[in-house]
Amino acid sequence: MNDQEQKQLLSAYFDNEVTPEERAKVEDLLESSIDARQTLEEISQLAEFIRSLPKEAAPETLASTVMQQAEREMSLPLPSVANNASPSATNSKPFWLVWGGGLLATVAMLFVATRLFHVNESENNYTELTAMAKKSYADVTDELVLGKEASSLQPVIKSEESFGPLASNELKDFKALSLSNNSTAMSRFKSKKGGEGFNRWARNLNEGKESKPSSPANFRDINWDEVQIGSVLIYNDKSGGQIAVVEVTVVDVQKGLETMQMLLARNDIPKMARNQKIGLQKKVRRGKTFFENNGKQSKSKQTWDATKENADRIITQEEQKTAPRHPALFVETSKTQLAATLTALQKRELFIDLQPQFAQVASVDVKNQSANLMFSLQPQLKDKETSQTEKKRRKEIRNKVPSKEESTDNAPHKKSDLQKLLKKDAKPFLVQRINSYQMLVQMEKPGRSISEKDQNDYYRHIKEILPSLSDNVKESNKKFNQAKGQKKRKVKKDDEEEDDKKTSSQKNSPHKLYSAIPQNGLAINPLRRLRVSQSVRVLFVFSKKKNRVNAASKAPRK
Amino acid sequence: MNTDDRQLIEECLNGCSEAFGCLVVRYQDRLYNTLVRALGSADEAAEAAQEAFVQAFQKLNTFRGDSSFYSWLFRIAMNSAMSAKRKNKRMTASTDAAREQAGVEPEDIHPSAQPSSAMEIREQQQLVQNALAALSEDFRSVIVLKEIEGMRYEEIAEILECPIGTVRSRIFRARSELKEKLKLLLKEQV
Repeated sequence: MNDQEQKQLLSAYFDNEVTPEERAKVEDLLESSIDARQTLEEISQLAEFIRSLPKEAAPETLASTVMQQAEREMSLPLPSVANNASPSATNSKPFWLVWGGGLLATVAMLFVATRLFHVNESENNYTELTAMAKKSYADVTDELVLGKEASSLQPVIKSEESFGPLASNELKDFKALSLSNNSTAMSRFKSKKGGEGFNRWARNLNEGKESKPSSPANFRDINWDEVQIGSVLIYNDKSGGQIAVVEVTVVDVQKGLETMQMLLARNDIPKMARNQKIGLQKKVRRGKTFFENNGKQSKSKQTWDATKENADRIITQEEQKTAPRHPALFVETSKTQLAATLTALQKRELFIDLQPQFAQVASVDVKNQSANLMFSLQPQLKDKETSQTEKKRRKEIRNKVPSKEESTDNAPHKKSDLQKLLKKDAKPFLVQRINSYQMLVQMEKPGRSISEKDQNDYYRHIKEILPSLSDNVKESNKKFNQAKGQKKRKVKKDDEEEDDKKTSSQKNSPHKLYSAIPQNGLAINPLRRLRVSQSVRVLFVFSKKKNRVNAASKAPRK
Repeated sequence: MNTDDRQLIEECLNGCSEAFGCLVVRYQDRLYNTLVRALGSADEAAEAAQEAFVQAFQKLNTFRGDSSFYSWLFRIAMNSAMSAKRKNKRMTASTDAAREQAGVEPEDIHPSAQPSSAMEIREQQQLVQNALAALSEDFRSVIVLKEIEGMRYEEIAEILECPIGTVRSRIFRARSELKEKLKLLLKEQV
């Protein structure tokens, strides 16, 4: 074996691409030859050099350009599945299963929601409902399985109030199920025992039994232990004096994120690059730094507004542990692009609960695309008095309303006292935690350039869309704004130049205006009102918060 | 093949363009990064990646699933890049590569010329990039697929459509050339 052959063998040995005989030879050589060891060391160093090259991200326009071309292709005759196509199965774990590290981050869900039909509540006849739902289920399921929209159906944007919370720990046992194998998913879903209410109803529908369920389930009655990715859920939703039978298909969060990225790309909204110096991510990192410092206020003059707000509150270790982790995308975009994306989202019915919300990013794990979020009004809850009042209020509600069993026995369904009571006691969403798939919107430099006309327009708009804005909401907003005013005064020490502007605009902060929007599914219109900002940050959140539910949306239990 | 990929491919074949969008988003960064290193030019890489995705979409019905979607996609990209080069008779080497071919300036990597560790890393990366760019197309492809993608010889052979022995030999020769070009850097490390 000459020198060149030896070195080639060493190269292959380094790559672990040698036969056992060759390995033995190389190892003998390495024992006896300093040059051989030196060569191997150099190969190792070269490999390290190449691997240390920075990762280049694809041009922002690549995906949108490709998709535009692909869509043009789609308008032509579609490619068909090759007859001999036999995709091999793989033993490897699906990417989304390992993605994100944590359970919540990996198997949170998105819903594809479709309103099947609406009937007036006064016409609430469950036999009829069941028959209609059964028919619609048969008609629509195929389209959903194929990933097509039921074009004649209107998208449903539901409020948290009407859907109720999802506890993330109830999603623990989700297993991957192919969406394309929806019938299997459904049968697996059905085959699990214990399906009462909704589950029984869904099973009966599919089996063709003409049964009259005592109580078609609503969203909050769904037993999440039995839900798997790929499951098709059917339930009743009552809102606005109407009953809707809604069908949702559970999809995995990775797919949802990818779809979202594709939609963003299509609307020319760039994804935040990891090393981007300007934009949300940097600011978020500051938030993270702050978070890790456990409450120490940043001295930087360029502190992000939300970070300042974070700095005014103490994030305890407990909160850090219990803070929800949400897979999220970070983008910074114009309002026009945002509106286009949201419209596309709405059309695609990816979210049953598309709502603008305010939250502070307490910490962010960019690598895993997840974030811990804290709501703005949370400091108020830390106040003992407020906290006790809140507990008392919740206790009263629990005592007043009937148990779940009692309420489900009341047939036929009417707008129950429970719902009325909950609605009455509903608080503005700022005091709620993230407990549904939400879209968080934060404005860049709020209130800086808002004009009086815009303010008036905005107020008028809110009055128009929210004629029933409760006193409770107003009161809570007032408290929030007072608390915010206190925070602003603290911030003054850090940034004197900006302080005057902020103080003067504080009263007119779009945050304040925006915070007056309760959860009633009014997702798009308010966003279109955000004319005052140069850009809007959007945080797309795809998961649910564990055990953080508010009185307005939780079905009380004994 | 990744089951998730297969599912997306099936959805796409059933007429859902969004499924293909998901595949694009999933692989665009990985493909582009590898192409930049393999082709030595960002423009060519972007062009090749775009062309590869479009061709993949067009030929999706011919994808048998014997290999991974990414391997198939990368092969399309490389073929596309090669044919584009032949067609346009472009220069293989980039400007950077040409600069590199003129010789590495030893003083650039002397410790005294490096004000900080960050600067040192950037310069080192630039030297490595230049050395890679100066390799011939064949050598660059194999070494990039091996070191950046971490592929086995068999996978590389499949993508480049050549025998495994050729892959082994090319990797060795690519390393030998890199070693020569980065001699000073290697000495520094020692």
